[in-house]
Amino acid sequence: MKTIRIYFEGDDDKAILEGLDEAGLLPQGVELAKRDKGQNPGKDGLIRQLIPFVHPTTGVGGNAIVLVDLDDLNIDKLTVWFHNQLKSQLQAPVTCELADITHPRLRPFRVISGNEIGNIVLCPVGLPDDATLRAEYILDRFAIDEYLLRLVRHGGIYSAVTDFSSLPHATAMHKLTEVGKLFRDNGIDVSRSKTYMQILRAAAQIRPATATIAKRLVSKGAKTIPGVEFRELLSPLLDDIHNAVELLIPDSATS
Amino acid sequence: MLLLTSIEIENFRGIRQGKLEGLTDVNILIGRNNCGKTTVIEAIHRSIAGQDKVDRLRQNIVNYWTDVRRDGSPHDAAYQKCIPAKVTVRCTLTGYSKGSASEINRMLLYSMFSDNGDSLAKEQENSILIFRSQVMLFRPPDALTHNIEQLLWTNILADRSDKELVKSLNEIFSVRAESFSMIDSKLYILFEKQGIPLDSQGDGTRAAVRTLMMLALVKDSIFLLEEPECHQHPGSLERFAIAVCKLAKANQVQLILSTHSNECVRAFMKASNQVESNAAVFHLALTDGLQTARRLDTEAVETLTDTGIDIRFLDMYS
Repeated sequence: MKTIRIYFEGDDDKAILEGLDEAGLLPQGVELAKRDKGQNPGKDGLIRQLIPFVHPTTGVGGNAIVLVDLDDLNIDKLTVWFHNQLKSQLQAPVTCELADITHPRLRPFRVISGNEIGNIVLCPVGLPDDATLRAEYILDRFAIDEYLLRLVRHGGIYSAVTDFSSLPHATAMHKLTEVGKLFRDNGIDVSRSKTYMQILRAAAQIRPATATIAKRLVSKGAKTIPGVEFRELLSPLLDDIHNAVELLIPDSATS
Repeated sequence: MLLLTSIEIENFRGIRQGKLEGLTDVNILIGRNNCGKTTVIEAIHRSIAGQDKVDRLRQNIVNYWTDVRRDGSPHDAAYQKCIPAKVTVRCTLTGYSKGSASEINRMLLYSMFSDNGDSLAKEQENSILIFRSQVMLFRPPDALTHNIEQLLWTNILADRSDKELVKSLNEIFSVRAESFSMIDSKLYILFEKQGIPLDSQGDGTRAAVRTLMMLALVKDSIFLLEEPECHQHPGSLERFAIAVCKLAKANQVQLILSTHSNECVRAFMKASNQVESNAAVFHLALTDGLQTARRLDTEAVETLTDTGIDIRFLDMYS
Protein backbone atom coordinates (compact mmCIF):
# COMPACT_ATOMS: atom_id res chain seq x y z
CA MET A 1 0.00 0.00 0.00
CA LYS A 2 1.37 3.39 -1.00
CA THR A 3 1.82 5.83 1.81
CA ILE A 4 -0.80 8.57 1.92
CA ARG A 5 0.22 12.00 3.14
CA ILE A 6 -1.97 14.36 5.12
CA TYR A 7 -1.45 18.03 4.36
CA PHE A 8 -2.91 20.64 6.69
CA GLU A 9 -2.85 24.35 7.37
CA GLY A 10 -1.46 25.28 10.75
CA ASP A 11 0.08 24.39 14.05
CA ASP A 12 -3.19 23.48 15.75
CA ASP A 13 -4.06 21.04 12.95
CA LYS A 14 -0.60 19.54 13.26
CA ALA A 15 -0.90 19.20 17.05
CA ILE A 16 -4.29 17.50 16.86
CA LEU A 17 -3.17 15.16 14.08
CA GLU A 18 0.00 14.27 15.94
CA GLY A 19 -2.03 13.58 19.05
CA LEU A 20 -4.35 11.32 17.07
CA ASP A 21 -1.39 9.58 15.49
CA GLU A 22 0.23 8.94 18.87
CA ALA A 23 -3.05 7.61 20.17
CA GLY A 24 -3.13 5.19 17.24
CA LEU A 25 -6.31 6.68 15.86
CA LEU A 26 -5.09 7.56 12.39
CA PRO A 27 -5.40 4.91 9.69
CA GLN A 28 -2.37 2.81 8.90
CA GLY A 29 -0.25 3.91 5.98
CA VAL A 30 -0.73 7.64 6.40
CA GLU A 31 1.91 10.14 7.39
CA LEU A 32 1.74 13.80 8.24
CA ALA A 33 3.44 16.26 5.93
CA LYS A 34 5.80 18.70 7.55
CA ARG A 35 4.48 22.21 7.10
CA ASP A 36 6.84 25.09 6.64
CA LYS A 37 4.61 27.95 7.71
CA GLY A 38 7.46 30.44 7.57
CA GLN A 39 7.97 30.18 3.84
CA ASN A 40 4.56 28.81 2.95
CA PRO A 41 1.99 30.41 5.22
CA GLY A 42 -1.75 29.88 5.09
CA LYS A 43 -3.88 28.11 2.55
CA ASP A 44 -1.81 29.35 -0.41
CA GLY A 45 1.34 27.99 1.18
CA LEU A 46 -0.41 24.69 1.77
CA ILE A 47 -1.26 24.43 -1.93
CA ARG A 48 2.31 25.31 -2.93
CA GLN A 49 3.67 22.54 -0.72
CA LEU A 50 1.04 20.08 -1.93
CA ILE A 51 1.59 20.46 -5.68
CA PRO A 52 4.99 18.71 -5.99
CA PHE A 53 3.58 15.75 -4.11
CA VAL A 54 0.52 15.24 -6.31
CA HIS A 55 1.81 16.51 -9.65
CA PRO A 56 1.81 13.45 -11.91
CA THR A 57 4.79 14.37 -14.08
CA THR A 58 7.03 16.89 -12.34
CA GLY A 59 6.25 15.62 -8.86
CA VAL A 60 5.58 12.41 -7.02
CA GLY A 61 2.08 11.61 -8.33
CA GLY A 62 1.14 10.70 -4.78
CA ASN A 63 -2.07 10.33 -2.79
CA ALA A 64 -2.90 13.18 -0.42
CA ILE A 65 -5.57 14.06 2.09
CA VAL A 66 -5.79 17.82 2.44
CA LEU A 67 -7.37 19.34 5.52
CA VAL A 68 -8.52 22.90 4.89
CA ASP A 69 -10.38 25.09 7.34
CA LEU A 70 -13.81 26.11 6.15
CA ASP A 71 -13.44 29.59 7.64
CA ASP A 72 -16.42 31.56 6.33
CA LEU A 73 -17.11 29.27 3.36
CA ASN A 74 -19.41 26.31 2.99
CA ILE A 75 -18.18 23.02 1.57
CA ASP A 76 -19.21 23.81 -2.00
CA LYS A 77 -17.53 27.19 -1.97
CA LEU A 78 -14.40 25.75 -0.42
CA THR A 79 -14.37 23.07 -3.12
CA VAL A 80 -14.58 25.69 -5.85
CA TRP A 81 -11.81 27.71 -4.22
CA PHE A 82 -9.61 24.64 -3.86
CA HIS A 83 -10.23 23.55 -7.44
CA ASN A 84 -9.33 26.99 -8.72
CA GLN A 85 -6.17 27.03 -6.66
CA LEU A 86 -5.09 23.70 -8.11
CA LYS A 87 -5.90 24.79 -11.65
CA SER A 88 -3.90 27.98 -11.23
CA GLN A 89 -0.85 25.96 -10.20
CA LEU A 90 -1.06 23.40 -12.99
CA GLN A 91 -0.12 23.92 -16.60
CA ALA A 92 -1.43 22.07 -19.67
CA PRO A 93 -1.40 19.22 -20.40
CA VAL A 94 -1.85 18.55 -16.71
CA THR A 95 -5.47 18.88 -15.66
CA CYS A 96 -7.33 18.65 -12.41
CA GLU A 97 -10.82 17.25 -12.12
CA LEU A 98 -13.27 16.69 -9.33
CA ALA A 99 -14.07 12.99 -9.22
CA ASP A 100 -17.68 11.89 -9.53
CA ILE A 101 -18.06 10.51 -6.02
CA THR A 102 -20.82 11.58 -3.69
CA HIS A 103 -19.83 12.16 -0.11
CA PRO A 104 -21.37 14.70 2.28
CA ARG A 105 -18.05 16.36 3.06
CA LEU A 106 -15.12 14.81 1.21
CA ARG A 107 -14.23 15.98 -2.29
CA PRO A 108 -11.86 13.77 -4.30
CA PHE A 109 -9.73 15.37 -7.04
CA ARG A 110 -7.53 13.78 -9.65
CA VAL A 111 -4.52 15.52 -11.12
CA ILE A 112 -3.98 13.95 -14.51
CA SER A 113 -1.39 13.94 -17.26
CA GLY A 114 -1.88 11.12 -19.74
CA ASN A 115 -1.69 7.89 -17.80
CA GLU A 116 -0.08 9.54 -14.81
CA ILE A 117 -2.32 10.52 -11.90
CA GLY A 118 -2.02 12.18 -8.54
CA ASN A 119 -4.96 11.95 -6.13
CA ILE A 120 -6.25 14.37 -3.54
CA VAL A 121 -9.14 14.17 -1.14
CA LEU A 122 -10.17 17.56 0.14
CA CYS A 123 -11.38 17.32 3.69
CA PRO A 124 -13.11 20.50 4.92
CA VAL A 125 -12.35 21.21 8.57
CA GLY A 126 -14.66 22.89 11.04
CA LEU A 127 -17.98 22.25 12.71
CA PRO A 128 -20.59 24.56 11.22
CA ASP A 129 -23.26 21.96 11.96
CA ASP A 130 -22.52 21.78 15.68
CA ALA A 131 -25.57 23.65 16.96
CA THR A 132 -24.30 23.75 20.55
CA LEU A 133 -21.04 25.44 19.68
CA ARG A 134 -22.68 27.84 17.26
CA ALA A 135 -25.31 28.87 19.78
CA GLU A 136 -23.05 29.14 22.78
CA TYR A 137 -20.12 30.87 21.15
CA ILE A 138 -21.77 32.63 18.18
CA LEU A 139 -19.26 31.20 15.74
CA ASP A 140 -19.35 32.12 12.07
CA ARG A 141 -15.83 31.11 10.96
CA PHE A 142 -14.94 27.46 11.24
CA ALA A 143 -11.65 25.67 11.76
CA ILE A 144 -10.02 22.78 13.59
CA ASP A 145 -10.22 24.67 16.89
CA GLU A 146 -13.89 23.70 17.21
CA TYR A 147 -12.63 20.24 18.11
CA LEU A 148 -10.49 21.79 20.82
CA LEU A 149 -13.53 23.59 22.17
CA ARG A 150 -15.35 20.27 22.29
CA LEU A 151 -12.45 18.69 24.16
CA VAL A 152 -12.17 21.45 26.77
CA ARG A 153 -15.92 21.42 27.28
CA HIS A 154 -15.58 17.80 28.41
CA GLY A 155 -14.91 17.97 32.15
CA GLY A 156 -12.97 14.72 32.29
CA ILE A 157 -10.55 15.73 29.55
CA TYR A 158 -10.20 19.28 30.83
CA SER A 159 -9.34 18.07 34.32
CA ALA A 160 -6.78 15.61 32.97
CA VAL A 161 -4.71 18.40 31.45
CA THR A 162 -2.62 19.80 34.30
CA ASP A 163 -2.12 23.16 32.54
CA PHE A 164 -5.73 23.95 33.46
CA SER A 165 -5.35 23.01 37.13
CA SER A 166 -5.52 26.63 38.35
CA LEU A 167 -8.94 27.11 36.83
CA PRO A 168 -11.83 24.76 37.67
CA HIS A 169 -13.74 23.47 34.67
CA ALA A 170 -17.05 25.11 35.53
CA THR A 171 -15.35 28.47 36.03
CA ALA A 172 -13.43 28.10 32.78
CA MET A 173 -16.59 27.40 30.80
CA HIS A 174 -18.31 30.33 32.42
CA LYS A 175 -15.37 32.62 31.64
CA LEU A 176 -15.40 31.55 28.01
CA THR A 177 -18.96 32.62 27.41
CA GLU A 178 -18.74 35.63 29.69
CA VAL A 179 -15.59 37.09 28.13
CA GLY A 180 -16.84 36.29 24.65
CA LYS A 181 -20.03 38.20 25.31
CA LEU A 182 -18.10 41.07 26.87
CA PHE A 183 -15.91 41.34 23.78
CA ARG A 184 -18.87 41.27 21.43
CA ASP A 185 -20.73 43.88 23.51
CA ASN A 186 -17.72 46.13 23.08
CA GLY A 187 -17.52 45.64 19.34
CA ILE A 188 -14.63 43.19 19.37
CA ASP A 189 -15.05 40.37 16.88
CA VAL A 190 -15.22 36.98 18.55
CA SER A 191 -16.48 34.61 15.92
CA ARG A 192 -13.78 31.97 15.80
CA SER A 193 -13.14 29.05 18.10
CA LYS A 194 -9.44 29.92 18.00
CA THR A 195 -10.21 33.17 19.83
CA TYR A 196 -12.00 31.22 22.55
CA MET A 197 -8.98 29.01 23.00
CA GLN A 198 -6.89 32.13 23.43
CA ILE A 199 -9.34 33.46 26.00
CA LEU A 200 -9.08 30.17 27.85
CA ARG A 201 -5.29 30.30 27.78
CA ALA A 202 -5.40 33.79 29.24
CA ALA A 203 -7.98 32.86 31.88
CA ALA A 204 -6.03 29.79 32.99
CA GLN A 205 -2.73 31.64 32.74
CA ILE A 206 -1.24 29.02 30.48
CA ARG A 207 2.22 29.68 29.04
CA PRO A 208 2.46 26.99 26.34
CA ALA A 209 1.10 27.76 22.87
CA THR A 210 -2.39 26.67 21.88
CA ALA A 211 -0.84 23.95 19.70
CA THR A 212 0.91 22.45 22.70
CA ILE A 213 -2.32 22.49 24.68
CA ALA A 214 -4.14 21.01 21.69
CA LYS A 215 -1.80 18.05 21.60
CA ARG A 216 -2.16 17.52 25.34
CA LEU A 217 -5.96 17.67 25.09
CA VAL A 218 -6.01 15.01 22.38
CA SER A 219 -3.45 12.87 24.13
CA LYS A 220 -5.20 13.05 27.53
CA GLY A 221 -8.60 12.69 25.93
CA ALA A 222 -7.63 9.47 24.21
CA LYS A 223 -6.40 8.04 27.52
CA THR A 224 -9.03 9.44 29.86
CA ILE A 225 -12.44 8.80 28.36
CA PRO A 226 -13.94 5.77 26.59
CA GLY A 227 -12.86 5.39 22.98
CA VAL A 228 -16.35 5.65 21.55
CA GLU A 229 -16.97 8.87 23.42
CA PHE A 230 -13.63 10.30 22.36
CA ARG A 231 -14.21 9.44 18.72
CA GLU A 232 -17.61 11.08 18.96
CA LEU A 233 -15.97 14.31 20.10
CA LEU A 234 -13.65 14.17 17.11
CA SER A 235 -16.40 13.35 14.67
CA PRO A 236 -16.52 13.90 11.73
CA LEU A 237 -12.78 14.67 11.47
CA LEU A 238 -11.61 11.17 12.32
CA ASP A 239 -14.24 9.49 10.18
CA ASP A 240 -13.40 11.80 7.30
CA ILE A 241 -9.72 10.89 7.43
CA HIS A 242 -10.55 7.18 7.46
CA ASN A 243 -13.06 7.58 4.65
CA ALA A 244 -10.59 9.63 2.65
CA VAL A 245 -8.08 6.79 2.84
CA GLU A 246 -10.74 4.41 1.53
CA LEU A 247 -11.47 6.79 -1.35
CA LEU A 248 -7.79 6.95 -2.21
CA ILE A 249 -7.19 3.23 -1.85
CA PRO A 250 -10.58 1.56 -2.21
CA ASP A 251 -9.53 -1.86 -0.92
CA SER A 252 -7.73 -0.49 2.14
CA ALA A 253 -9.03 -1.67 5.48
CA THR A 254 -8.98 1.20 7.95
CA SER A 255 -9.81 0.87 11.57
CA MET B 1 26.57 22.61 -26.88
CA LEU B 2 25.10 19.19 -27.34
CA LEU B 3 22.95 17.82 -24.58
CA LEU B 4 21.71 14.31 -24.05
CA THR B 5 18.02 14.99 -23.42
CA SER B 6 16.60 11.50 -23.31
CA ILE B 7 17.62 7.88 -23.35
CA GLU B 8 15.50 4.84 -24.08
CA ILE B 9 16.76 1.41 -23.17
CA GLU B 10 15.43 -1.94 -24.30
CA ASN B 11 16.66 -5.35 -23.22
CA PHE B 12 19.85 -4.16 -21.64
CA ARG B 13 20.99 -5.88 -18.46
CA GLY B 14 18.14 -5.71 -15.91
CA ILE B 15 16.13 -3.26 -17.98
CA ARG B 16 13.60 -4.74 -20.37
CA GLN B 17 12.26 -1.28 -21.09
CA GLY B 18 13.05 2.13 -19.68
CA LYS B 19 13.16 5.78 -20.58
CA LEU B 20 14.64 8.90 -19.03
CA GLU B 21 13.37 12.18 -20.41
CA GLY B 22 14.23 15.75 -19.64
CA LEU B 23 17.92 15.31 -18.93
CA THR B 24 19.59 18.63 -18.32
CA ASP B 25 22.96 20.10 -17.29
CA VAL B 26 23.29 18.28 -13.96
CA ASN B 27 21.40 15.00 -13.58
CA ILE B 28 21.27 13.03 -10.37
CA LEU B 29 20.10 9.42 -10.51
CA ILE B 30 18.71 8.02 -7.27
CA GLY B 31 16.79 4.90 -6.35
CA ARG B 32 17.03 1.66 -4.46
CA ASN B 33 19.68 -0.97 -5.12
CA ASN B 34 19.11 -2.82 -8.38
CA CYS B 35 16.88 -0.13 -9.85
CA GLY B 36 19.25 0.25 -12.78
CA LYS B 37 21.25 3.38 -12.00
CA THR B 38 24.54 1.85 -13.07
CA THR B 39 22.84 0.23 -16.03
CA VAL B 40 21.69 3.64 -17.25
CA ILE B 41 25.20 4.97 -16.83
CA GLU B 42 26.66 1.98 -18.63
CA ALA B 43 24.12 2.33 -21.44
CA ILE B 44 25.01 5.99 -21.87
CA HIS B 45 28.72 5.25 -21.68
CA ARG B 46 28.61 2.44 -24.20
CA SER B 47 26.16 3.96 -26.63
CA ILE B 48 27.51 7.51 -26.62
CA ALA B 49 31.11 6.36 -26.94
CA GLY B 50 29.81 4.41 -29.91
CA GLN B 51 32.19 3.13 -32.54
CA ASP B 52 35.24 4.57 -30.84
CA LYS B 53 34.95 1.86 -28.23
CA VAL B 54 37.66 3.43 -26.11
CA ASP B 55 37.92 6.32 -23.75
CA ARG B 56 41.14 7.95 -22.71
CA LEU B 57 41.42 5.94 -19.58
CA ARG B 58 40.17 2.55 -20.54
CA GLN B 59 41.38 0.79 -23.62
CA ASN B 60 38.06 -0.76 -24.46
CA ILE B 61 34.73 0.31 -23.02
CA VAL B 62 32.93 -2.91 -23.76
CA ASN B 63 35.68 -4.97 -22.15
CA TYR B 64 35.71 -2.58 -19.20
CA TRP B 65 32.01 -3.10 -18.49
CA THR B 66 32.26 -6.82 -19.13
CA ASP B 67 34.95 -6.86 -16.45
CA VAL B 68 32.98 -4.65 -14.03
CA ARG B 69 29.94 -6.88 -14.34
CA ARG B 70 32.03 -10.04 -14.20
CA ASP B 71 30.30 -11.09 -17.40
CA GLY B 72 31.56 -14.12 -19.21
CA SER B 73 30.95 -12.45 -22.52
CA PRO B 74 29.35 -9.31 -23.95
CA HIS B 75 26.24 -11.44 -24.65
CA ASP B 76 25.54 -11.31 -20.94
CA ALA B 77 24.61 -7.64 -21.26
CA ALA B 78 21.29 -8.66 -22.79
CA TYR B 79 18.16 -8.66 -20.64
CA GLN B 80 17.91 -11.99 -18.84
CA LYS B 81 20.99 -13.01 -20.85
CA CYS B 82 18.65 -13.79 -23.73
CA ILE B 83 20.56 -14.73 -26.88
CA PRO B 84 20.09 -13.46 -29.50
CA ALA B 85 18.84 -10.27 -27.87
CA LYS B 86 17.75 -7.11 -29.52
CA VAL B 87 19.49 -4.69 -27.24
CA THR B 88 18.61 -1.12 -28.07
CA VAL B 89 19.69 2.19 -26.61
CA ARG B 90 18.27 5.31 -28.18
CA CYS B 91 19.82 8.59 -27.15
CA THR B 92 18.31 11.91 -28.10
CA LEU B 93 20.82 14.71 -28.38
CA THR B 94 19.69 18.28 -28.54
CA GLY B 95 21.93 21.05 -29.73
CA TYR B 96 21.87 24.50 -28.29
CA SER B 97 23.66 27.51 -29.71
CA LYS B 98 25.88 29.37 -27.27
CA GLY B 99 23.99 31.84 -25.12
CA SER B 100 20.67 30.84 -26.59
CA ALA B 101 18.12 28.42 -25.31
CA SER B 102 16.64 27.84 -28.74
CA GLU B 103 16.90 24.36 -30.04
CA ILE B 104 18.88 24.23 -33.27
CA ASN B 105 18.74 20.59 -34.03
CA ARG B 106 17.58 17.32 -32.62
CA MET B 107 19.00 14.02 -33.53
CA LEU B 108 18.89 10.47 -32.50
CA LEU B 109 21.80 8.28 -31.72
CA TYR B 110 20.50 4.87 -32.39
CA SER B 111 22.65 2.19 -30.93
CA MET B 112 22.24 -1.48 -31.09
CA PHE B 113 24.70 -3.77 -29.49
CA SER B 114 25.64 -6.41 -31.96
CA ASP B 115 26.90 -9.83 -30.99
CA ASN B 116 30.38 -8.63 -30.11
CA GLY B 117 29.06 -5.85 -27.95
CA ASP B 118 29.97 -3.01 -30.29
CA SER B 119 27.53 -0.17 -30.71
CA LEU B 120 26.61 1.10 -34.15
CA ALA B 121 25.76 4.70 -34.83
CA LYS B 122 23.83 6.16 -37.69
CA GLU B 123 24.88 9.75 -37.18
CA GLN B 124 28.35 10.69 -38.21
CA GLU B 125 28.32 14.42 -37.92
CA ASN B 126 31.47 16.02 -36.67
CA SER B 127 30.04 17.61 -33.56
CA ILE B 128 28.50 14.34 -32.56
CA LEU B 129 31.74 12.52 -33.15
CA ILE B 130 33.52 14.96 -30.85
CA PHE B 131 30.72 14.64 -28.31
CA ARG B 132 30.99 10.89 -28.44
CA SER B 133 34.75 10.68 -28.31
CA GLN B 134 34.92 12.86 -25.19
CA VAL B 135 32.51 11.01 -22.92
CA MET B 136 34.18 9.97 -19.67
CA LEU B 137 33.23 7.84 -16.70
CA PHE B 138 34.45 8.00 -13.10
CA ARG B 139 33.51 5.25 -10.68
CA PRO B 140 34.44 4.93 -6.98
CA PRO B 141 37.27 2.42 -7.60
CA ASP B 142 38.92 5.04 -9.86
CA ALA B 143 39.63 7.18 -6.80
CA LEU B 144 42.49 4.89 -5.92
CA THR B 145 43.73 4.29 -9.44
CA HIS B 146 47.06 5.99 -9.94
CA ASN B 147 47.21 5.25 -13.65
CA ILE B 148 44.72 8.09 -14.16
CA GLU B 149 47.49 10.64 -13.75
CA GLN B 150 50.00 8.41 -15.51
CA LEU B 151 47.76 8.39 -18.58
CA LEU B 152 46.35 11.88 -18.41
CA TRP B 153 48.89 14.17 -16.77
CA THR B 154 50.45 15.25 -20.07
CA ASN B 155 47.02 16.31 -21.29
CA ILE B 156 46.40 18.16 -18.06
CA LEU B 157 49.63 20.10 -18.46
CA ALA B 158 48.93 20.78 -22.14
CA ASP B 159 46.30 23.38 -21.33
CA ARG B 160 47.51 24.04 -17.77
CA SER B 161 44.40 22.57 -16.22
CA ASP B 162 46.70 21.79 -13.30
CA LYS B 163 46.36 25.41 -12.13
CA GLU B 164 42.61 25.11 -11.76
CA LEU B 165 43.12 21.73 -10.13
CA VAL B 166 45.33 23.25 -7.42
CA LYS B 167 42.81 26.01 -6.84
CA SER B 168 39.99 23.48 -6.48
CA LEU B 169 42.05 21.30 -4.15
CA ASN B 170 42.72 24.29 -1.88
CA GLU B 171 39.07 25.33 -1.89
CA ILE B 172 37.67 21.86 -1.24
CA PHE B 173 40.02 20.83 1.55
CA SER B 174 41.13 24.23 2.88
CA VAL B 175 44.81 23.50 2.24
CA ARG B 176 47.56 25.62 0.72
CA ALA B 177 48.93 23.53 -2.11
CA GLU B 178 51.08 25.42 -4.58
CA SER B 179 51.23 23.02 -7.49
CA PHE B 180 51.39 19.43 -8.64
CA SER B 181 54.41 17.64 -9.98
CA MET B 182 54.82 14.25 -11.60
CA ILE B 183 57.98 12.56 -10.31
CA ASP B 184 58.83 8.99 -11.27
CA SER B 185 55.26 8.33 -12.42
CA LYS B 186 53.93 9.53 -9.07
CA LEU B 187 51.84 12.65 -8.74
CA TYR B 188 52.98 14.93 -5.89
CA ILE B 189 51.11 17.76 -4.27
CA LEU B 190 53.62 20.50 -3.57
CA PHE B 191 53.12 22.63 -0.49
CA GLU B 192 55.38 25.47 0.62
CA LYS B 193 57.77 23.26 2.54
CA GLN B 194 57.05 19.74 1.38
CA GLY B 195 55.85 17.58 -1.43
CA ILE B 196 53.43 14.77 -0.66
CA PRO B 197 52.47 12.00 -3.08
CA LEU B 198 48.77 12.14 -3.94
CA ASP B 199 48.46 8.51 -2.89
CA SER B 200 49.71 9.42 0.61
CA GLN B 201 46.70 11.70 1.01
CA GLY B 202 43.34 10.55 2.31
CA ASP B 203 40.93 8.81 -0.01
CA GLY B 204 38.71 11.89 -0.21
CA THR B 205 41.54 13.99 -1.60
CA ARG B 206 42.58 11.26 -4.02
CA ALA B 207 39.00 10.86 -5.24
CA ALA B 208 38.46 14.60 -5.66
CA VAL B 209 41.74 15.25 -7.48
CA ARG B 210 41.30 12.32 -9.83
CA THR B 211 37.67 13.14 -10.56
CA LEU B 212 38.52 16.73 -11.38
CA MET B 213 41.53 15.64 -13.39
CA MET B 214 39.36 13.50 -15.61
CA LEU B 215 36.60 16.09 -15.82
CA ALA B 216 39.12 18.75 -16.84
CA LEU B 217 39.84 16.80 -20.00
CA VAL B 218 36.22 16.47 -21.09
CA LYS B 219 34.94 19.19 -23.40
CA ASP B 220 31.47 19.50 -24.94
CA SER B 221 30.38 16.06 -23.86
CA ILE B 222 29.17 14.01 -20.91
CA PHE B 223 30.86 13.18 -17.63
CA LEU B 224 29.41 10.15 -15.89
CA LEU B 225 30.06 10.04 -12.18
CA GLU B 226 29.07 7.23 -9.85
CA GLU B 227 28.64 7.91 -6.13
CA PRO B 228 30.71 11.10 -5.88
CA GLU B 229 30.03 11.17 -2.14
CA CYS B 230 32.39 8.22 -1.64
CA HIS B 231 35.24 9.11 0.73
CA GLN B 232 34.00 12.70 1.17
CA HIS B 233 33.15 14.44 4.42
CA PRO B 234 29.82 16.29 3.95
CA GLY B 235 31.59 19.65 4.20
CA SER B 236 34.14 18.69 1.57
CA LEU B 237 31.39 17.17 -0.54
CA GLU B 238 29.64 20.52 -0.84
CA ARG B 239 32.81 22.23 -2.01
CA PHE B 240 33.70 19.30 -4.24
CA ALA B 241 30.25 19.53 -5.87
CA ILE B 242 30.82 23.22 -6.54
CA ALA B 243 34.21 22.51 -8.12
CA VAL B 244 32.71 19.77 -10.30
CA CYS B 245 29.73 21.86 -11.40
CA LYS B 246 31.90 24.90 -12.05
CA LEU B 247 34.34 22.94 -14.19
CA ALA B 248 31.54 21.15 -16.01
CA LYS B 249 29.89 24.45 -16.81
CA ALA B 250 33.16 25.96 -18.04
CA ASN B 251 33.84 22.96 -20.28
CA GLN B 252 30.21 22.69 -21.44
CA VAL B 253 29.98 19.25 -19.98
CA GLN B 254 26.75 17.55 -19.00
CA LEU B 255 26.94 15.76 -15.66
CA ILE B 256 25.12 12.51 -15.02
CA LEU B 257 25.74 11.12 -11.58
CA SER B 258 24.29 8.42 -9.39
CA THR B 259 24.09 8.41 -5.63
CA HIS B 260 22.46 6.94 -2.55
CA SER B 261 23.20 10.02 -0.48
CA ASN B 262 20.81 12.84 0.34
CA GLU B 263 23.79 14.99 1.20
CA CYS B 264 25.12 14.41 -2.28
CA VAL B 265 21.79 15.34 -3.87
CA ARG B 266 21.65 18.52 -1.83
CA ALA B 267 25.29 19.37 -2.53
CA PHE B 268 24.97 19.02 -6.30
CA MET B 269 21.61 20.81 -6.44
CA LYS B 270 23.05 23.69 -4.45
CA ALA B 271 26.23 23.71 -6.52
CA SER B 272 24.39 23.68 -9.83
CA ASN B 273 22.26 26.56 -8.61
CA GLN B 274 25.38 28.45 -7.58
CA VAL B 275 26.97 28.11 -11.02
CA GLU B 276 23.60 28.81 -12.70
CA SER B 277 23.23 25.38 -14.27
CA ASN B 278 19.97 23.48 -14.44
CA ALA B 279 19.64 20.38 -12.33
CA ALA B 280 17.19 17.51 -12.07
CA VAL B 281 16.84 14.45 -9.91
CA PHE B 282 15.65 11.21 -11.49
CA HIS B 283 14.18 8.68 -9.12
CA LEU B 284 14.45 5.28 -10.74
CA ALA B 285 12.42 2.20 -9.94
CA LEU B 286 12.50 -1.19 -11.61
CA THR B 287 9.69 -3.73 -11.64
CA ASP B 288 9.79 -6.86 -13.81
CA GLY B 289 12.33 -5.24 -16.08
CA LEU B 290 10.28 -2.07 -16.55
CA GLN B 291 12.26 0.90 -15.38
CA THR B 292 10.34 4.04 -14.49
CA ALA B 293 11.98 7.37 -13.95
CA ARG B 294 10.38 10.19 -12.04
CA ARG B 295 11.96 13.55 -12.79
CA LEU B 296 12.05 16.26 -10.15
CA ASP B 297 13.45 19.72 -10.64
CA THR B 298 15.31 21.64 -7.95
CA GLU B 299 12.23 23.42 -6.65
CA ALA B 300 10.22 20.21 -6.34
CA VAL B 301 13.07 18.48 -4.51
CA GLU B 302 13.34 21.38 -2.08
CA THR B 303 9.61 21.52 -1.42
CA LEU B 304 9.29 17.77 -0.98
CA THR B 305 12.28 17.71 1.33
CA ASP B 306 10.86 20.62 3.33
CA THR B 307 7.65 18.67 3.84
CA GLY B 308 9.58 15.72 5.25
CA ILE B 309 9.93 13.46 2.23
CA ASP B 310 13.16 11.56 1.76
CA ILE B 311 13.30 11.62 -2.03
CA ARG B 312 15.29 8.39 -2.07
CA PHE B 313 12.08 6.66 -0.96
CA LEU B 314 9.77 8.26 -3.50
CA ASP B 315 8.47 4.86 -4.56
CA MET B 316 6.70 4.64 -1.17
CA TYR B 317 4.27 7.28 -2.38
CA SER B 318 3.64 6.73 -6.06
